[in-house]
Amino acid sequence: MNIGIVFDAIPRMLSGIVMTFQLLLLSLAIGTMIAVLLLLMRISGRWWLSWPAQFYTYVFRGTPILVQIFIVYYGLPQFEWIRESIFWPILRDPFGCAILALSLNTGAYLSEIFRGGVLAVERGLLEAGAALGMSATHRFIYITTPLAIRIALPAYGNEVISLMKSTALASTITLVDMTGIGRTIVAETFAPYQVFLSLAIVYVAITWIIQRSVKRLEVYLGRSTAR
Amino acid sequence: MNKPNDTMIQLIGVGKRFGQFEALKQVSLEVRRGEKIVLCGPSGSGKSTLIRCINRMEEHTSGRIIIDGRELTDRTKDINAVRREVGMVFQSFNLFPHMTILKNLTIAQRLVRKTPEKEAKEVAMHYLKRVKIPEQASKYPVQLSGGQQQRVAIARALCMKPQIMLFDEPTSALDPEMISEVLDVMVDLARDGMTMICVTHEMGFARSVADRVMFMDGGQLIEEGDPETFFANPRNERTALFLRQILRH
Repeated sequence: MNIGIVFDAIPRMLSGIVMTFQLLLLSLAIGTMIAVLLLLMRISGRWWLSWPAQFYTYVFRGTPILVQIFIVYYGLPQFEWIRESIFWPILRDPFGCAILALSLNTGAYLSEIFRGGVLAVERGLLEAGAALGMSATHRFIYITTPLAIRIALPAYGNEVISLMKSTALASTITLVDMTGIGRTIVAETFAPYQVFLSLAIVYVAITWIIQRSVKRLEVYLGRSTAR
Repeated sequence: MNKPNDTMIQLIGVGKRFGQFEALKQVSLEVRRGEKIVLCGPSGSGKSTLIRCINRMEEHTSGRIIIDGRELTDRTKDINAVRREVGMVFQSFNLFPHMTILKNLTIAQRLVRKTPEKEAKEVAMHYLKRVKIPEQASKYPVQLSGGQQQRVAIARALCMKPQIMLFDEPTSALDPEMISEVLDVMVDLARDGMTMICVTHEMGFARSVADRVMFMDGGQLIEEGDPETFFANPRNERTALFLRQILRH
């Protein structure tokens, strides 16, 4: 086994890290927005908002992310009205497809995480707000939201890590992220063991960075409740 | 004395159902401005539900509730108007844990009363001095003792300049040595002429400040009287039994 391949492979794969982070950060941002929208729909108390949100979550959590990426990339261009729509410049591009699929998927998971946070906020605090005459909107903004964020943060961190690893699937639709580069190197060197091991090391390192960052944020946000 | 505009709280045949369970049955009650009522009774008797209906933390299912001339209906505008006039103190303090003490006292003033920041802070400090903990203003609730937290909660309610104060077992969650510091604040408030309804089993407090003591059981007001007669000669057998049980030791 030639260990030298590992030292050659890691720097080359790192050149794909920009793509990995682009995929991660963009789909995380869009996914978070989708999640907030879904959350508001679910807790609106109106069935015609809540039901579609539940259905959405059910569908996107109930199907593999790889299948979702393929549907967006191979499936949507089958429809002429999509090819003629304003979204075509995005959907024509594999990067746009990957972002779309990852955002839609993580949005479903994140909305459930946010909902857990919202439901876990102590009822008495909202009652106290109501007793002071605060409106439902004010209570949601000033009491529920900040506390729900603190409660949901650890689970949110997990989802970020999960999403980061899912970005590797973008290499299946021609994107040259770290995994994509890794596969190219394998094709050149016929050394899958060393190359994929190197790839695994890089992903672990990134996971470690995300974990540390979330932990620091947790400590920062929890400073008021820690003695 | 009993002019119509002197009635602060009026309950007419108020009922409250939770599904099959009848928590309040035909409760009628009139409280005059400045009057102090102590409400006692066994757990599950409906005393908390009763005061929670007064600021619509619970919706009554029958009868009428009129607060300072304003009837409680489904209209959000009326509910918020009533809540501005009615302060409430909870058993579990319910301070906002992510805000400093000062922020706990200013947030509702800013949002509900639209008080400017500077004035809201002055009001907050005024009431923190009144409950004798102005030095804690920049701390977070978790850094305070239970007694201090409850005093902050009272100050927070007072910042809204309410006409009426409701206390829902304010000392039940406190360690014994902290009860008196909270009761002192409540006595002080009572002396100041606040209209108060207190759900409490602090009979010493009832004796010293209550105009009327009421006993509830099974969702009904069973007996009421001035503290002297109420404690010395309860007319109803259930009241007598309850008093024997809580005053035994």
